[in-house]
Amino acid sequence: MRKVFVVLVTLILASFIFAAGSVSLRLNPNASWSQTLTFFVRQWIRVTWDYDETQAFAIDDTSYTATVGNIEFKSNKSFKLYYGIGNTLPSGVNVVSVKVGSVVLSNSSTTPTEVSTKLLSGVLEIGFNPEVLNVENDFSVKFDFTFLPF
Amino acid sequence: MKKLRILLKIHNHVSIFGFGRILVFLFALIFSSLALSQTINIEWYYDEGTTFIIDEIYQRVSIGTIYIYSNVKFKFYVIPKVLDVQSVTVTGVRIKNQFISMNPSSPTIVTNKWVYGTMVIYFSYIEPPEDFKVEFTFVFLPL
Repeated sequence: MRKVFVVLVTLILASFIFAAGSVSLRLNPNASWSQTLTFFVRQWIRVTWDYDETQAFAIDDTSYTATVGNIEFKSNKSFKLYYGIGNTLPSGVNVVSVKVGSVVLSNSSTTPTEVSTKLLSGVLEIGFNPEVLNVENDFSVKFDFTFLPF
Repeated sequence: MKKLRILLKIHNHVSIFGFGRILVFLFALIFSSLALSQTINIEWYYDEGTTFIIDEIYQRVSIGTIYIYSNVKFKFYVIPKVLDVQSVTVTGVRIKNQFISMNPSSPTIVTNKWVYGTMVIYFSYIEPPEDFKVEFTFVFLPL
């Protein structure tokens, strides 16, 4: 009998410990209780691209650029982004610029491109260095976009 | 005669175990306090210091489990007050399946003396706000 009691008391005490809080109010004649909670809206980024990423894109031999198609980055809040280039490029070839519409994207994590309007869209244009003209075969470029909260 | 024997037995039990005497005393204390005053007890099983992340699609957030119980039938309502930002309104406070009244003139009636379940807060906003605080004031009235 005493064992049961001890177990019960332990359970009751445990429930108090695990509860984040408890309060007892006396109705006299009313009672009120206030709690302040903090809220946050989770941010999302939606990327839409209107091009076939498996097709080959031609590089213009005078401007050394390739236009890929339309891309759109949309978020529910302001955001920052920067790009990175994977190591799939032929030797000597570099990506020197990535533009979305008229916006030049940053490739630096310390100075990312700020999108305060929550929307960035336009033609995706990739600029290469002149060495690209010496490449005979098709090559692939891997883009890594990293998004940061504003 | 039988009654007396039982009484005696209880008396013996109490006198033999001091532990039992404390028990009887505690029960007496609990019963008397329950009978004399109308109390509302609230237990919440969530960390009120944490930041609750709102579901963007449904504009709602599940806070955690709350348990409100009383020794009397009661009615209650909640007044949410959004602090820090202007653009957000709280459209509903739900505990399990029941939306709690936010109108002082028509409080939610609790005839079974308890409310238990997950508390979910519903919001309305057009532009997603930054972090903000909401003060919830629950007002309890005897039925």
